[in-house]
Amino acid sequence: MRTYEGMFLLDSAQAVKDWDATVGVVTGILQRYGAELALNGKWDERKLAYPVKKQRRGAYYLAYFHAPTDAITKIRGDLLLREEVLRFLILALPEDQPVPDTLEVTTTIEDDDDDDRRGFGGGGGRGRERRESRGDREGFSGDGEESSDDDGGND
Amino acid sequence: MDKSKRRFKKYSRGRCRFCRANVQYVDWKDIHTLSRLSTGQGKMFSRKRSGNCARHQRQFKAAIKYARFMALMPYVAR
Repeated sequence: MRTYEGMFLLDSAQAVKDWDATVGVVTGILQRYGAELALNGKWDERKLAYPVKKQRRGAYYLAYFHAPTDAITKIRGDLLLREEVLRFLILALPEDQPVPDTLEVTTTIEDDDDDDRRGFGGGGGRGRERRESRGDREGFSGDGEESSDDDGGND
Repeated sequence: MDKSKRRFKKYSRGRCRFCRANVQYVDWKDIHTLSRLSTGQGKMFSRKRSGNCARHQRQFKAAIKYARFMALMPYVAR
């Protein structure tokens, strides 16, 4: 048995329609192969950084679970067959890292901790780069209400 | 003008920001931190620019790649 951290990117349309059923698909697969769920729940619903299986939005379900090591391959195999699960990532937690208390992510770097954004480069390139990074950061950390050009295709 | 202040700041920070925060493992779900350490294009900051120590820069490298895979961070921004 090891402890795993699994994040599952779910079809947002399905998740909105029936969250329990959509998550049930994932938990059903986990439990079928002997996984014991620890902390789990909805992590976020957001605009994706890039389209996955033609979906621009997605719901994230995060689960910490204990499972036999040989179950993981089978779990992966089953998850790949499910259309509701757009993408998933199962990582073994390091042995010395306990299951966290909450699903909330604690931010390491605060906004006012801005010292490293200066003092590199200098000269002409600096101004340009800083302006560019400012604008774009708001782009992908904001909750996706910016106008996206829907040219589809060539991503 | 406030050159002395600057110098003090430079010396006082010294260590990598993850070391200062006493972080054991860089969390790949912490998008805020990851995006603070990458350019507007979504490229990672170099160690020189981020000030990370070797251990945390390695962890950050892995973290941003997990985050990209889960579509939390862009591979390339348009």
